[in-house]
Amino acid sequence: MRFAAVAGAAAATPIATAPVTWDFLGYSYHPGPVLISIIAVAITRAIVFLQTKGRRQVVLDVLVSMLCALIAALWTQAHSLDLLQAGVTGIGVAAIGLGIISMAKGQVGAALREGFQAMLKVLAGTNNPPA
Amino acid sequence: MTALGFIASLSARASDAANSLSAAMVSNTQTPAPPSFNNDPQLFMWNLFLMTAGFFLGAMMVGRQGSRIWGQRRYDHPLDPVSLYRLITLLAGMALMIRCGAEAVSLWGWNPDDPALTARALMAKRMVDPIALAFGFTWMALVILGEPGIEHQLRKAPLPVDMWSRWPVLGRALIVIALSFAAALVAVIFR
Repeated sequence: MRFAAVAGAAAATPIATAPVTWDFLGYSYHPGPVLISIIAVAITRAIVFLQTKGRRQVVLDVLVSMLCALIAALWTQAHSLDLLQAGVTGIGVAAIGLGIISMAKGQVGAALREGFQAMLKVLAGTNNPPA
Repeated sequence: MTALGFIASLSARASDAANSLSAAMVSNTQTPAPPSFNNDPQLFMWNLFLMTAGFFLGAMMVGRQGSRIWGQRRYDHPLDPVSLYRLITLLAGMALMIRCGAEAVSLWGWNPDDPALTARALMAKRMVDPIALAFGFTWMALVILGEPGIEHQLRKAPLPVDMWSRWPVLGRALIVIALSFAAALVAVIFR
């Protein structure tokens, strides 16, 4: 269903059911859900976070919103979500907001710690003492 | 006991969405929009737009009035006219949010490839609607009950309200409305 069908008369228009597919750097995705997730992020951020004062705060807000939109869009693309799930994902990611960074920090920190432990175990060698 | 039985039957029906009548209807209707739109993308877009915007605006109203009530709880008595006014608007926003939110979920979730999920959204709307109506009836009852006191207070000078000085506060609502329209347009074009 194209724009002409939307903007045209209210007559019953036959609706094409073939989903549109776009391509970005080799990643193919359905533009509808991805754009919906981004718009959901924008709406939620506009409702909750549009009362900040000061230039730095506004810049930080914009950056966090862009990060949220990116994460929501990537998640939607990776799991090829439908419209409703894409919108709920966008709202949820935007509601987490700054917490995303601390979550990522926690994940990366845990991975680093596990890698460090594994490295220590390898360096320490087996339990058998040299004879 | 009958109430418990009623709730139990409701939850049983909700949990068995895959075998419900709604799911059968959805899987028999291979259209990108619910059949009540009769293949009219324009009508579908307007409904998507307004239901989404209604949900977000209702949520904004609830959050705003809720924070006002909470912030002024030590200053305003619960039976003051201003408290009643805030409670009425809070309940109206809640009714709008619940009703429009359920409708928006069922519209956004319409997907003939996933009849169980669509049926769950459709049936959830039917179960949530009475709750929204209860909020609506409550605020109307509060209007009636508080009418003498509220009108007596509202008749006190200075009477005309300078509404246009508050116009910029509505900017956020306008942003939400514009974004909801964009979302509905995207959903209808790229479906």
